[in-house]
Amino acid sequence: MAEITIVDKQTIKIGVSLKDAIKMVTEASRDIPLYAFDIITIYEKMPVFEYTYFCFYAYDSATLFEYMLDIDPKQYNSFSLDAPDSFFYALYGGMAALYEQAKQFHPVAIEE
Amino acid sequence: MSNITVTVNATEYPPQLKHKVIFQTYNQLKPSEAMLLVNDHDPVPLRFQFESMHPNEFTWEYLEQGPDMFQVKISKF
Repeated sequence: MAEITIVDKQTIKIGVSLKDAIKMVTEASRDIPLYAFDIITIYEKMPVFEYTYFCFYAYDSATLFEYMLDIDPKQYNSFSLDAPDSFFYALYGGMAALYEQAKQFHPVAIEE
Repeated sequence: MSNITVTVNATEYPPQLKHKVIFQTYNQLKPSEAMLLVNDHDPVPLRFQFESMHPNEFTWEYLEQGPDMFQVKISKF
């Protein structure tokens, strides 16, 4: 489970693990139409960020991320994410598996 | 040498707005102008996004590189 440390009103520190990526993949597979945009965006854009530097807010694909956290990071202007490489690679693999199905529900191409 | 014409302090914006504000600001720069980005961590993901969206159109120069404050001069060719 993600470790959330609220430093102050503006600052939050988030620590995640491989299990949190599995939680995101499981949730995405439970409702592919709902998460289609996130699935497509994460799969298509994560390589741009060399996988482990991916930012969920770069392309507004943070719904799954926020589901996993159980909190809303948007309330904090400063947040840091401590995640092992395994988190990103597991998430990428999961999104890859769901990608073709997700495209059926969200066929619009993602902006650059 | 590009002149900095505008500063974006990313710590003043919530996460879902940071990238939008930064790219909107960059897009409004004229050629040879630059923006100063201030952040509380190294904006490496943002640099990857810049390279994807604006390949060969900008330079990225650290004016301050941590540990608590990062300032990056982003210049438009």
